[in-house]
Amino acid sequence: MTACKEWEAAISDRVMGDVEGPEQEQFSRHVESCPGCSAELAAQMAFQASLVLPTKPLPGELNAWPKVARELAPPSRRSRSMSFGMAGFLAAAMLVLGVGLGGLMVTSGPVDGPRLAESTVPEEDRYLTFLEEAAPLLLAVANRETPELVSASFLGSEALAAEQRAAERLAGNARDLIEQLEESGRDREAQLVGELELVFIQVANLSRQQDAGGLRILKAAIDNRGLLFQLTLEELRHLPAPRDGGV
Amino acid sequence: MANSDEQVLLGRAKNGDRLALKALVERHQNDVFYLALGLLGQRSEAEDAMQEVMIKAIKALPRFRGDSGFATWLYRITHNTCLDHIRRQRWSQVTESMDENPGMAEHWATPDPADDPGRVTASAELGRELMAAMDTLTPAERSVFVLRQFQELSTRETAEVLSRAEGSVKNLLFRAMRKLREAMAEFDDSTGHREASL
Repeated sequence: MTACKEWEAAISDRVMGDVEGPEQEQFSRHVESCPGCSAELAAQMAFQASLVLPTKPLPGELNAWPKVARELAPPSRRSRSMSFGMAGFLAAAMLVLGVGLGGLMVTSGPVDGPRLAESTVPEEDRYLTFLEEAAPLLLAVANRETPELVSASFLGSEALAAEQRAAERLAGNARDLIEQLEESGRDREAQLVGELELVFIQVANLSRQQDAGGLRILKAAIDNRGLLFQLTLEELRHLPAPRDGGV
Repeated sequence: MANSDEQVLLGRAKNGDRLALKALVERHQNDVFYLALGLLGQRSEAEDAMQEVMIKAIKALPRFRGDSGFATWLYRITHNTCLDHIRRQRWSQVTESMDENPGMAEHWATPDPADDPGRVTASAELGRELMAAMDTLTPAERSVFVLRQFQELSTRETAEVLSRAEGSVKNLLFRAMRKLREAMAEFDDSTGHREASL
């Protein structure tokens, strides 16, 4: 015994819970007198009740974005190995920040700070926190006069040692942050942090070598133009407020 | 989530805002994956399809006019992408036995701590039966069944995704349900797995 062809859609509606409308009223009257439709409706209702569907994925179980971002990224990516000269050139932008914000910030504020928070911190916060921590060090190097840089007293000073420790720490933080930003498709920010990382590595290495020549080159590079032009005004607004006694 | 929120996100995404694109992907990836899982039957296939769909959607986003909802548009891309997968690999090859391809079975078998272990096992088994029974459906029947049952789309929404008349969707669902019921009844007869007949 089979259902009537013309009532198949009505059976389907009824099984899926669509019971409103004149057609369903007509179907109700029909099914009372049609054993075929009645049997089919009962069987499909029972089948619907017994259906076991796959478990839906849990929130966070899937993460399509990294692969999608990679597919959408421009094909060329900057090489990680860069010459000192290039690093110095990139570092030159520190002066830009010095000009832009120098009047608001001290040139050698505290550069030792807590490690960048772990990956549970929202990515945006980590990026801004990184910039915030990097700014005092960048300004400290950028605004220091050349004679001071090459003086024997400065090369052996605790101030330089502190800056170099901070540079080493920030370089370590940068690597982790770059990976996160790249995974999220934030290529511009990842590139900027990558460039800052090179500067920090340079400063940290100078720490070990006590290299006055290197310091001079870095300083000369800072006297050009550079990477902080890449920061947007929005990002600059998140950098630290002027400290007391700032010049 | 409010529709206006999605509109703002879409506007930003159309302008190439990566954070907005990421948010859209994260918001819809589960639904796209689940639909692809229903259509393709294997987790790894569904994950590949999900990524392909997202990339296609992002590239096509400037052409999205909003005539239909964004989710509906995304489902249509998912459906077409899965059909392409099926055409490439042949329908019969993507619906191999669950014993050899446990992707779908994993989803039926995902244990809920609140569940009785015996019931979870039974559910997983019923899920495998359904999956095997879905092999008997035509692609159109399977599409309608998955969109209506897995995604819980309305008849109208399903018709919109598949570019079919609503009456056609209802008839396809009727046939799909009848075929599945009969296939599973045969399976029960041959294995004696279920005591209750449908």
